[in-house]
Amino acid sequence: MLGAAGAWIVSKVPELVLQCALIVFSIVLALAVDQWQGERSDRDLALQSLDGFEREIGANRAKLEDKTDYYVTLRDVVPRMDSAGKLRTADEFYDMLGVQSFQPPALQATAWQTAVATGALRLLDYPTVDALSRAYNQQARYERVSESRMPEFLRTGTAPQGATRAMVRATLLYMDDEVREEKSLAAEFDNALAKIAAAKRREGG
Amino acid sequence: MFRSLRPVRAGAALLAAALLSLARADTAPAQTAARQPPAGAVAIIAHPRTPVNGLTLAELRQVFLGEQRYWRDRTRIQLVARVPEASERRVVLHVIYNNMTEAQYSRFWTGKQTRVEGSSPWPAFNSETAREMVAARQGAITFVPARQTTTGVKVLRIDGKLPGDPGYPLQ
Repeated sequence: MLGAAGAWIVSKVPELVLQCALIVFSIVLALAVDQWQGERSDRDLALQSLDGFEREIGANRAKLEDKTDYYVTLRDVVPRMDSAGKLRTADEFYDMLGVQSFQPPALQATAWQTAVATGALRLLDYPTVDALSRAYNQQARYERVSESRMPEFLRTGTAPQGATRAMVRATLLYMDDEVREEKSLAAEFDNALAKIAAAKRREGG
Repeated sequence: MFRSLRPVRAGAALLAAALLSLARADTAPAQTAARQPPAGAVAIIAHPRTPVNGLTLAELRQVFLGEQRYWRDRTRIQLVARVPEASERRVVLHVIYNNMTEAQYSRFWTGKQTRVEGSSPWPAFNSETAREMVAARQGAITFVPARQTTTGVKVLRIDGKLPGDPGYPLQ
């Protein structure tokens, strides 16, 4: 009933099945390769992001530690100079200690901004993102509070004459508060750095 | 019992004289009075517990360029630097930093901080503050006019010489 045409079609079925199978296989293979490339690209982005965070937080940590050390030393020096009568006037205070001594360290947040902009944060695990978020939030809070807490005479370099006793007391209190805040921020940085190191090990970086 | 005590007395006198001359030698000053350093000479002073008494100029450069960051007892080195407009700072920029300008000096330390290669020098607004900071902070080192050094800090020999010695390099 099929005749010659039918017989021809039937003879071609195995070839057709094979071709279909090959086409399907090629599509599946292409999808798999694409997925593998996407995962590799995500992994590279995650590692780059972690490297960036590690460098930036490490640098911020070093600047903070430097400032803390400086204030701890000045907290010894200022009372000694005061007792020795070297800080009797506002002019003497500024001559001895200056104003630039009390500027907070310039901390960076570029790595966080870049990670947010590139979507790299979605590639990191929750504990790492949590630690990074806490560190950068604490950093922003430290910068705001440090600026608002600084006595006016340290910001402007001018003070009324006769206010030296109050200046010395206020400076010591300011340094005490700064050291406390800096140590707290340093602890957050250390926590973030530990999470970054663990995440890099997991990613094979 | 004794025929004569004269030899005994003579021997005792000789012994006493010898002991007396030894005692005088012990109390003689160990060195002659320090030479007054010339005006413009710069002394390098460090915390009293710094584990060195002197540095060569090359070693001093390594310290001041931040290339050596620790003393041999693992204490971190902390530079304290007079802020601009000080004659001793000009000597240090000329001799130790090989004629760096203030702008170059500022860029040098900004670069080091960015690369986390060490902390930048602490600013000191006059020599007295610099001395107080060095006296208070173990590991600290700074430069002051040689005629203004006081007790409480250690003056380092540079190339084996103190300020005022002929050939002292920082003047």
